[in-house]
Amino acid sequence: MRRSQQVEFEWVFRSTYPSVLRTTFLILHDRGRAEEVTQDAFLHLYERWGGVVHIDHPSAWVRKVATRAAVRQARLARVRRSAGQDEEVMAWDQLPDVDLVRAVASLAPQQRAAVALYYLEDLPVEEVAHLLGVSASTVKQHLHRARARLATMLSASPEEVTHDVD
Amino acid sequence: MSIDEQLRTRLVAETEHLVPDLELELARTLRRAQRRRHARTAVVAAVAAAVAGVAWLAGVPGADRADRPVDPARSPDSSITGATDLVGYRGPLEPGRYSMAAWGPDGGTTLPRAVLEVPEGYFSNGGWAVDAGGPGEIEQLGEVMVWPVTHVFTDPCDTRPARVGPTLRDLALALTDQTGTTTTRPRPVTLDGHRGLYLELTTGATHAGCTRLDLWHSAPDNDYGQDTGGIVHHLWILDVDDTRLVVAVSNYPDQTPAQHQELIDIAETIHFTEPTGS
Repeated sequence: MRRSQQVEFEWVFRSTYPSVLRTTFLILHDRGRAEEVTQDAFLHLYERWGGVVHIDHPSAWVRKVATRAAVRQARLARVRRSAGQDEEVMAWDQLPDVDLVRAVASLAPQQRAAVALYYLEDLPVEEVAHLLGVSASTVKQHLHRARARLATMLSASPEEVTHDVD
Repeated sequence: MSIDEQLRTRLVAETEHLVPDLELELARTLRRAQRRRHARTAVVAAVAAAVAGVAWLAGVPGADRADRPVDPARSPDSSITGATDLVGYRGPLEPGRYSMAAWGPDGGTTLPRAVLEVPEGYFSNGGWAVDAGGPGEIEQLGEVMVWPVTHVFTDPCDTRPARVGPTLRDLALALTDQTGTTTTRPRPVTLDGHRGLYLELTTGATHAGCTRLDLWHSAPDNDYGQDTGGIVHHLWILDVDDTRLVVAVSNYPDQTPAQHQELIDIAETIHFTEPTGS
């Protein structure tokens, strides 16, 4: 890899890593696993950086790889937990003492990802759909259900729920 | 304030504690990339040396072929059994019949070869596997390989594999006893007329203390391991003319059911032929 390519990669890493880590953390609710998934995604990006295949939008690419990997891991953890094959994966003690992050942890993995990308990263519905590999209407559905559930959990009146993603 | 605004504001505030040490994380990523590059280079060099040595001993014309690193521009060699020889080839595959070596000692030259039918949309990443996905795609989706498995990692998070006994049953039991994976009950099967046992093995999740899951081993530096959990392996443990070989179809979690089935269909076309180095 040429020096200029290395500098570009480091720039993308520094500017994108924190937000990707926030997203994977909100999906996995385990900082260790979130760091691992995020680092893996950047490792894959690095290995393609100097290659023949050009990645037009490296930040979006790495966010997509990390988000999908986190959703996969979260689903697997759920399956194993429900089958009683795993330790208590949802390490509640590792979560900060806040209501909302705990409430998000109770959502389905893809709903968590939609919430993280839409609310935390402020991405439009179409981009969230692209990153998750689903349709925009599916994302809207995820957000609608997640919002209704979070609103209830946070003791907000369900009537307050708005529909500004439609 | 609407619920959307509340959610946005609170989520940002409640994840503010996540401040990574960027320089440390960057250094870790670059170190891991360097280690993986070295490991790949070592494997390619070892395999190339082994194949060159065997070819030279056997007086095979064109024995210098293995001296070259894998060449993405090279076309596969079609000199073996009317099928295209995959070994040493890296790149997309035209639909057709291919001859693939087992991933074992000496580049698999002393072991029966697998001839298999490959439809459109596959590639090979060095010649010892038919890979789904594609070079340059975000993620590889799965692969078909043949392994002369000699050892099984009793714990995929451990680095020491344990030698297994010589029978088909020994290997099936070692795999079903592996911790951290789930397996189906082994059942009798035949593939290309060779008797054997079939089972499915699914890996658990990786985690901070175990970022790579090693499953089995066939020769020095020939370990099967992945840094992704949730991979489903379809394993045919076969007696191929008194040689124990494992046909392994590995399906990654992102595969669709149709892609998953197509890899199994490819494996079921396998016909074993004589070793090239015998």
